Amino acid sequence: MDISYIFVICLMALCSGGSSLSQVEGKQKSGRGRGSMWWGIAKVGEPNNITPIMYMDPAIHSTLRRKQRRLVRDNPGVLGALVKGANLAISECQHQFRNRRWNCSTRNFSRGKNLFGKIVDRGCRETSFIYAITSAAVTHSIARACSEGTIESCTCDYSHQSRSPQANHQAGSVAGVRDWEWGGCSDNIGFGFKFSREFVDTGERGRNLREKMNLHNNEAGRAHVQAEMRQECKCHGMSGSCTVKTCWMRLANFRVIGDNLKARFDGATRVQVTNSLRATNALAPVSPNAAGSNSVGSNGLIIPQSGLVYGEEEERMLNDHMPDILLENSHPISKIHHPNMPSPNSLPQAGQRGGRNGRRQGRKHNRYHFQLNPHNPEHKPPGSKDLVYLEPSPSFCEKNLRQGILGTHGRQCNETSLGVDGCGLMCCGRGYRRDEVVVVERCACTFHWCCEVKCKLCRTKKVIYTCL
Amino acid sequence: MDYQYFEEESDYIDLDEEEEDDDVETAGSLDHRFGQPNSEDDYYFGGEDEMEELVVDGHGVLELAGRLLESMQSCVQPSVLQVMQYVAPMLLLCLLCRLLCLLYSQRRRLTSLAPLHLFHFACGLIILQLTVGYRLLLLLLLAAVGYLLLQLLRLGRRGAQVLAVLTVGSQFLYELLIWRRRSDWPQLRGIQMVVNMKLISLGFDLTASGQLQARIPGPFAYLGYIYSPATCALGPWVSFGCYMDCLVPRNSCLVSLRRLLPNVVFCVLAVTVSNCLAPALSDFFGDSSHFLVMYWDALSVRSSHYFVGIMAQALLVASDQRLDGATKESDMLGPLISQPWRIEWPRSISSLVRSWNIPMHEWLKRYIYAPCKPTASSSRGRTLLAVLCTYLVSSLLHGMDLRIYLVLISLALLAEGESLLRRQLASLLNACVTANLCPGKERCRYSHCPSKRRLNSLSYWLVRLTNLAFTALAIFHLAYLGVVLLGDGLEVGEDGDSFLWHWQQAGYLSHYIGLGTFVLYLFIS
Repeated sequence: MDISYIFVICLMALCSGGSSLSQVEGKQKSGRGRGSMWWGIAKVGEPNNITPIMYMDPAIHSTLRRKQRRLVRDNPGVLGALVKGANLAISECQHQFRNRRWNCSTRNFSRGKNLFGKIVDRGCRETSFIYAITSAAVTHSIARACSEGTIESCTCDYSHQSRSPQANHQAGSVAGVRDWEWGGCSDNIGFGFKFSREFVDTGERGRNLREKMNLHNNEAGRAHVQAEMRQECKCHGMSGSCTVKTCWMRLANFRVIGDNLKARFDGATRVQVTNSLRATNALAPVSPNAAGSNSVGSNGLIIPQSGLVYGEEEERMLNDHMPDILLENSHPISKIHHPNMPSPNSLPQAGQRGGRNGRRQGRKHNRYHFQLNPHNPEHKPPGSKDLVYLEPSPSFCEKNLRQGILGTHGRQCNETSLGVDGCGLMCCGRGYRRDEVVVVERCACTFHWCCEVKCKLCRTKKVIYTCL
Repeated sequence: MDYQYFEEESDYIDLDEEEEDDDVETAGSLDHRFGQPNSEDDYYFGGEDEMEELVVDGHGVLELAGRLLESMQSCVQPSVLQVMQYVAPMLLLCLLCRLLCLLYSQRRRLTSLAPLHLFHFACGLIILQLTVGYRLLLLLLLAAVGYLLLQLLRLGRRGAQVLAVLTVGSQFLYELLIWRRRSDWPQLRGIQMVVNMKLISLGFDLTASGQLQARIPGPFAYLGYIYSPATCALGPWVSFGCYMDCLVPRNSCLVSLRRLLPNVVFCVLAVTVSNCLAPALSDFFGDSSHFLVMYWDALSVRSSHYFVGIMAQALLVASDQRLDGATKESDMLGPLISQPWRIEWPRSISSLVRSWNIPMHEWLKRYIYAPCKPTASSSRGRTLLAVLCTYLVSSLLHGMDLRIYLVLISLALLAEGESLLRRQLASLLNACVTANLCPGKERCRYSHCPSKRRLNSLSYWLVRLTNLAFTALAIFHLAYLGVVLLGDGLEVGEDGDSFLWHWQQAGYLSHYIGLGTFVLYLFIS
């Protein structure tokens, strides 16, 4: 490579990097926690205790934004689902990250503060996961609540039913999903999707990069829920023929969605400020200028806060870059985050509503029309299901309350593992302590019909390793 | 609806029962037989152990309940809704057809039957239109071809045989030519199968006494018969004579309505089990026991068959159409197409096969098995030929589906082996352990018969236990064979190994057991 060329590139990288950083800083100040305060709803109370009137509860009042309060008021029964969803998100997040340095810890919730702590102020991978999983959980639990009938305002959309099931199954019998539309109330995912957009995306206007990142990750979470909505069909008929075919949709267990999102977390795409930041045109191509302007690798070694970034090796270990594998389904069109893209069925009335509400609706849809460019121009642009982040994650090794990092002191680790949960990585090389403890646990359980489990209490010795 | 048809064995099984031997040897042989169900029990117990482990964390039962609830919510409602949308118009059309026929027949003099046939034809046509849409034209074309073939009957008995061969052959040809190209053939196949059965039966019936007795039915009668609303969409087969008998409804509407209701309820129940409950259970036991997975998957297949059968029963009841043959008519449900209770808890494989699809069984017995086996005292070779012939015809009727061929041949061999062995055992032990239920206290020829013995006698319990073991074995075979038929019969042929996966997992156990049965039989006799 030509030296002068490299020089120019570095110069440009510095310029744009600097400017992007300053912008990130700026919006952290202005947009801090804007759309994320609602997470606190998880701690408001037990889902069971919530009655429809409780949207007036002061705790909820302080947690939700005005528009969110209105949504909750207008959709009786939704509050319980939201609380459930938020708790679902937290427990799933903590499950997925149980073996990592950052273990999705939540803080004691107090009003005006963010549930997941200050880590959310940074646009790092972990933040992207938080946004995606919370949005996904809300979609999931609302859809589930819909099908359970606990939300009064989500009616079954009978416009989706085929005129007669018979008319479909012939064509669908082999071609599969092609032109089959589900019937009944099983398409509540549409309501969940719509509601999640209205509710979760409230504070995110998409005006700056961080808000775009949040929007993108929220959308990605919803897209994962939608993708896990499986159609199942069964043929009935004489001699294995397909005279009667019945189909239904099934929403997968949230654990599956959590697993998928975690995989996307591992292969998340780092995005950067582009020249077309304010372009609302969905079809704006990746500008060659912007793409070429920054050739710094995505492992972020050149970022100024070097004290906090991972070492190269650890970074690889922790983040397992594999955008190429995970982007296999991002065909060219899916670069555009058209809201209806993942499944045209899900938002049947988008067109109608758009027509009815005119301009307002149009503006709202534009919110999702943007293109994020990968930090490393050699990577593919993020697809609709990919998570995106802006800056490298801190190492999470040392306690840093200013940044909301608890550190890994006192965490348990696995001595034999070579992965992130192994003591070497988990304790950041500080060393670890070996303790023998006597654990009392239930054992030799027997099942008595029906339905009782009787167990003995056993004392076993266990060795645990704790980071210093 | 119908993977059965070897029931015919039953006919000759009871014909010759001689050969008395001593009881000594049989004790050992019984042990062997008991050994098999035990191996199956191992599966069972294995499964229960696993279940306990699942339960250990205290969530097993809850989890199962949760999953069931979940699948119920997402699956039952749409399934039932779609089934209702499917069945309701058909039922209404059947009732309409019945009403029209009733009104017409109440005229003073019945000048012509043609309007009755026309009502049937029109209603059937509307049902088919609702079911298959424009593909109806293809069916009508095939019906026209069938009518042309029917003219062969002018040749007499020989013509009927040619007709049968041509019909079955052409069905196979359609499969070969159309199936590959058309994605919708699987839907038409079942309908066309019933039409073919009706054609063949018509041919044999008309030429029964060697000469052409009656005129070949006119086009209206033919079309009315072929596309009668009660039987056109879902079957079952009814003979032309039976159709003519029921042109004018006899039962009162009240009786029909009373029978319709339980049919509809059971229909919904069956589709729920087939779509939702069985797959959920199969999922739940997915990691613990392969036998349970097979069992639940096969239950899904079986209840799918019950579902179609009961739906067809509802249509029969609605249009007051009766079935041929031994009057298997229950007071509650009307004509019976299958007897789920005999399938879920079978006495033997052959009795199971006979209860699977009664009209189809009747058809095969009447038109294929009986002609192939002219006299009762025929040689064993002749009988075997008749069985093979029956197998071949029913396979061909079912169309090109490798899975069905495999299942049918396995069923035939298993049923044959079991019947032979049990007959031998019965005569050896002088106990009522044959494949067929003993006819009762007076007529049972064996001395050790549960109906003759008191509860506290040892032989009573031994006979009971033996039959129970055979039942358990049949249940295992049923799960083993049924699981293959799960899923669409569409992608067969491309990946032959995928549907044999379960058999591989089970180590082809059923087939070895079947083989063992034959060996044991030869050993004893």
